[in-house]
Amino acid sequence: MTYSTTADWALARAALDETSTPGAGPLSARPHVPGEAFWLRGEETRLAFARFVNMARRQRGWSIEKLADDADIEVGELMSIEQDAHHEPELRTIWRLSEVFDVSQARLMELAGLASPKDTQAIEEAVRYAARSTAITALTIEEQAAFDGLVSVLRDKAK
Amino acid sequence: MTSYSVFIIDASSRQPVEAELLDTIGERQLLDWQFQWRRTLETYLRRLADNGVTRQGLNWPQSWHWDWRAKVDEVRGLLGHTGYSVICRDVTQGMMRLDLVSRTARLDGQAGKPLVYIDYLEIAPWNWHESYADPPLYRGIGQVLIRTAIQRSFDEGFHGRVGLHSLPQAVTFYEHCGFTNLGTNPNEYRGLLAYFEITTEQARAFL
Repeated sequence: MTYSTTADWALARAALDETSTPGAGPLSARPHVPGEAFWLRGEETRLAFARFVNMARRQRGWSIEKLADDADIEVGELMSIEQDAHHEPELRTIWRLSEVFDVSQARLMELAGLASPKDTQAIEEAVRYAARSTAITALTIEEQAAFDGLVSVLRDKAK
Repeated sequence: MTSYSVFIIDASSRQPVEAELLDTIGERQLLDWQFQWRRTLETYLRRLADNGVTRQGLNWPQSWHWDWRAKVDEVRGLLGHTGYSVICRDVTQGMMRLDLVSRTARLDGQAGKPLVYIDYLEIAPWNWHESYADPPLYRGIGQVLIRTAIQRSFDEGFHGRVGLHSLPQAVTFYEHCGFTNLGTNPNEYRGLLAYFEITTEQARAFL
């Protein structure tokens, strides 16, 4: 067979199709999850979960340390939950948080991406609330000072 | 056995990397499939199960568990069938089996004419772009294999004509390659796989 190709052709061809996976013939079958849109949004719901934990804690005027003590959860686990959408919380943590904040454990698990949602609409709604809850108030004096410091460091680095 | 130099794309750096196209599916490829492809697939299945997706909830053709080692053995030595594989960093990244004799074209304008039929094309699970899969390592393997099928079709005197039955999730891939979608047929693959065909002109455009 005559066959010659270039790196440029490979680049151009791959750029035309960034998201699909080839497969032909029944031998190449691979699992297809119906409603897989939810899966693509795992991070989004987990952000909503993070947002919930953050707000529920602050509403009670608690520090992360206080919540960690009361709920008997590691401080590091709580920090990761609030700040890292990739962090997968422990099942026990979800159970403790649902007890402390008095919400449905099953719902919280769904929001944290640990279970497939039975009621996708409820989860969608939770995500919308979370998006709306992102602070729109001006920064406090302390936050402003910290932000100014952060900006000055970033500007120095850029030089 | 002949080896050709080809390029695929490293998905994270988006840079082309050199790979090898072999005009066979050898024992080495079958071993990679058995011990490496299936291991990654098992990881993905476990991940799906952990997330509450049951086998019943998967839209997965019944034949998924077919041992295609047997399917490769069944055409070994037959002149009308041939296989190709793409190897990169010493691991098989994709495979394809071609039927050069038993199928003819269906598309208006070329119906009844001989064509190269791809009866099997698959890429390694770590290159899949699926919601439950890790980010793919390499891209562009399917394109290399399609190019191979088209080139083989020209070499056989079939003027670039290629046909195949696509997995439901792969339909957009073949459309992007320029194939025409002729739809599903309840008498073929339980109506699950759509038939695709590429004409001489479409094939030239792809190359």
